[in-house]
Amino acid sequence: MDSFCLSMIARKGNKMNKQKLIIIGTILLVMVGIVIGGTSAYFTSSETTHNIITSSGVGVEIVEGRVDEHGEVVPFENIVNALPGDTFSKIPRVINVDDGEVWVRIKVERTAKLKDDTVVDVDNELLSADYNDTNWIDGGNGYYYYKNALLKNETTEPLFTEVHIADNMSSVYKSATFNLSLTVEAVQVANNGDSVLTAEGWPEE
Amino acid sequence: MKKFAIIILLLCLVFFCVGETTATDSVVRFEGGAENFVFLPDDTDLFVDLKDAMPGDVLSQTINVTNNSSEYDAVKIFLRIEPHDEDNLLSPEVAGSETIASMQDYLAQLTMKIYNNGNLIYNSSADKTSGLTENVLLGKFANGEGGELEVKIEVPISLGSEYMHRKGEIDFVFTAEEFTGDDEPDEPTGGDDIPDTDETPDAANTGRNSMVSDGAVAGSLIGAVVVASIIVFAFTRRQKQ
Repeated sequence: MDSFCLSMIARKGNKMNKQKLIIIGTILLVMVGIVIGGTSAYFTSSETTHNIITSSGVGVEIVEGRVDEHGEVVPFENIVNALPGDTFSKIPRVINVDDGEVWVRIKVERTAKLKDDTVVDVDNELLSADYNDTNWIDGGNGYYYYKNALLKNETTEPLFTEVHIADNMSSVYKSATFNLSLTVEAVQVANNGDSVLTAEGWPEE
Repeated sequence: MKKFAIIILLLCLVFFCVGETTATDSVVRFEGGAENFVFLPDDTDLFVDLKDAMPGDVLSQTINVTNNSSEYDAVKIFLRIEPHDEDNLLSPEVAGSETIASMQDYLAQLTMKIYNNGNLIYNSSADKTSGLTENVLLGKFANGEGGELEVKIEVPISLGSEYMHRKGEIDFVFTAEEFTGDDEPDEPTGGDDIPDTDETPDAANTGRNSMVSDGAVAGSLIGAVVVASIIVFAFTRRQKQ
C-alpha cells in the first residue's frame, strides 16, 4: 500500500472521529437542554387522606334484681313453690348499653304453663305488680313507656318492685308455672320526636 | 382599676371564643419541600365530625385548605376521590369490620355534598366519585392564602338497623402544582353545575416528583435542536472550507 493510500485512510479516520465527536456532543447538548428545561418547569406533588364516616347504634338490656333477706338488692332468681297470696321482690330496670340516646318501652306478658303443659295467658289481676307510674306510662297496648330519654350507660327507674299472686286462684293453676316475661325495645332519640309517645320506628307489634 | 377592666375583658373574650367552638375544622396545609402536605388531624382522617351518624342526621365537616409554601409564587391545589378496589384497599380500621362491597353498600345509603368555597362540586351518594373522578381545581393560592371545603353527609331517616355501627372510607387525593410566574391567582372552578374541569395537573403521583410541563418540554427541545443545528451547520461549513 503506497503512502497516498495510507494518507487517505488516515484522513478518513480523522474525519470519522470528528463526526462521532460532533454527534456525541450534539446528543449531550440536547440532554442538557432537557435537564435545564426540566429544572425550571413545575413541580407537582400529591397525598391521600383516608376519611372515615361511621354510624352509631342503639342497644338496651334488662337488669332484674330483688331485695334479699338482708335488704340488699341482688340479682333476681326464679321463685319456686309460690302460693296464692304470696308477694315477692322483683325489680326490673333497663340500661342503655350502646352509644345512641334512646326511647325505651317494655312489653309485659303474663302466662302460665299448666300441669298438662298447656300455656295460657294470665291477666293482671292474677299476677299483679306495683307499676311505677311516676316514671313509666301504661300505653294500653301491653307496653310501658319510659318517660325520659336514656343516655349511654344510664339506667331507668324500676318498672315495678314487687309481684303479687292473687289470693283467690282457680285450682286449674295448681302446680302451674307462672311466667312474667319482660321484653325491652328501644329507638333512637335523634331526629325522632319530642317524647317517647311520639317516637317512631318501634319494632312491629 | 384599668388593669382589672382589661383582665375582665380578656376573660370575656376567652369564654366567648371557647363557647363559639363547637365543630372541629380539619386542615390541609401545603408546606412544599420535604413536608409536602400537612394534615390535621395527623392520622389523615379529615372527617372528624362525620362520626356516629344516626338516621335523619345531616352532618357537616369543614376542611381548611391553605398554601404555606413560600418556595414558589403560587400553588394550584386540586382534589379528586380515589375509589376503592384491588389496587386501593381499605384502611385497617375499616377493613377490620367491612369489606369493600359491604362498605360501598353502606356509603350508597348516604348522600354526600361537597362545597368548595360555597360552590357545589360534588352531589351524589357517598359511594361514587361523580364530579371528583378527575382532579378538580380548588384554587390557585399565593403563600398564606387558601380556601374552604365543606363536606355534608345526609343520612336518610329510613335507614335500617342493619346499618348500625358501620364504617365507610372515602379517599381524597390532594395534588399541588407549584409554579413561578407573574400571573394573578385565578378564580377556582365550581358552581351550580358540577364541572368536568380540564384544569388537571401534569401528573398526580404519590410523593414529590420533578415533572416537566408541556411548554417547558417543547421549549427545551426546540432550544436543543437549534443548538445542535448550529453546531452541525458550523461543522459542515468548516469541512467545506
